[in-house]
Amino acid sequence: MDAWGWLQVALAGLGLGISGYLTVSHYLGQAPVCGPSHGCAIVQSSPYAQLWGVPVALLGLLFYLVLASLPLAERRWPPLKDGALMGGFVLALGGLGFSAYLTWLELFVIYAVCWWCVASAVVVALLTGVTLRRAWRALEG
Amino acid sequence: MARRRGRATKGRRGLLLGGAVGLAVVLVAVLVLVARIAQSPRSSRLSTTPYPQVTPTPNAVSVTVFFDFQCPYCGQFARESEPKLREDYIRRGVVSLRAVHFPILGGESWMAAQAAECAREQGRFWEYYDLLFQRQAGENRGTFSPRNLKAWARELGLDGALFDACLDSGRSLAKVEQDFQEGRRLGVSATPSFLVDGQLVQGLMPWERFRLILEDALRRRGLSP
Repeated sequence: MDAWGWLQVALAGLGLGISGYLTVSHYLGQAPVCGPSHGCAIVQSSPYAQLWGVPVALLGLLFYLVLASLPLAERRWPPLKDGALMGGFVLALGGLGFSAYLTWLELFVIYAVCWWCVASAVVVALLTGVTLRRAWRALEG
Repeated sequence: MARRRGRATKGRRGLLLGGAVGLAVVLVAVLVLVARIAQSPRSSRLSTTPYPQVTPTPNAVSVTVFFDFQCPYCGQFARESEPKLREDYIRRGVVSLRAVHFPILGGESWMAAQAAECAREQGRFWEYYDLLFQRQAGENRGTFSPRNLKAWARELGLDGALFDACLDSGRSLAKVEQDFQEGRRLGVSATPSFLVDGQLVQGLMPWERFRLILEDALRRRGLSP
């Protein structure tokens, strides 16, 4: 696996840390540490933090878990490489779009910004760039 | 020949990436659609036990709760005990519940109380009350800012212009002050406090203890608990 593959694993690992923290604080019923704005508690207690009872943070956790696993799966099962590269890009771009929707909710519906969610959106944007580059390189080859 | 192959590769690459972007767009559209349905106020946790639209029987036990929207114990009562109170007693018409503002935690408590009265003007007090307790997050941290309170009224489908005019005019302040004075006259010093058929009980208590107090009152009125 090349450096870009490891970068994908590292970024997804960072996302796992963020979403993992938000998932744990959700289930413990605690407001995430958020600095002076207290936006995280407001966002986390809003109905937008769940989809039919499933915390959005848990969905994020699964999303990052898949993105972290894909390069490792490519390494283990080389025939899956092309599918994993394109699948990773589709997933990351989809995640970026959904993050944009969640950020819009924070700014214009909930009127509170959760910095953990912003950090996650930045990680997703970087992951989209990395997965795009990897898919592009594979198609060139 | 090589140029043609190069062009074909480029075309294939463009097609594949275009397809991937298209798939991602469909994925986002589906996710947002699912989120919009799941997060609509009608399907949120707020409406699991809406306040029953039942006329109490003439000899129903009257319960008054003195509360503050920012008080965490009031939130606990509203979220944990009130659904049982609504389901088991108010729905049967044997208990009538009156919520009286007792804002003791500062500016946002007063603002939230006024907003709830503005929702009452549109006949939606209890829905708004439930929503505010769901959104509780700390004290005087901007959660119950006028901006949020107005946005949430719209989320519940209230007439936004009417609600804003009510909140901005401060016309519901008199009602909140009147409620507060009622609590003070009765000696309320903590939230939540309850007046069950004239008997004042202060502070949050486990549902089972509250249920026993209610059932005593029901028996005294000859109603089956």
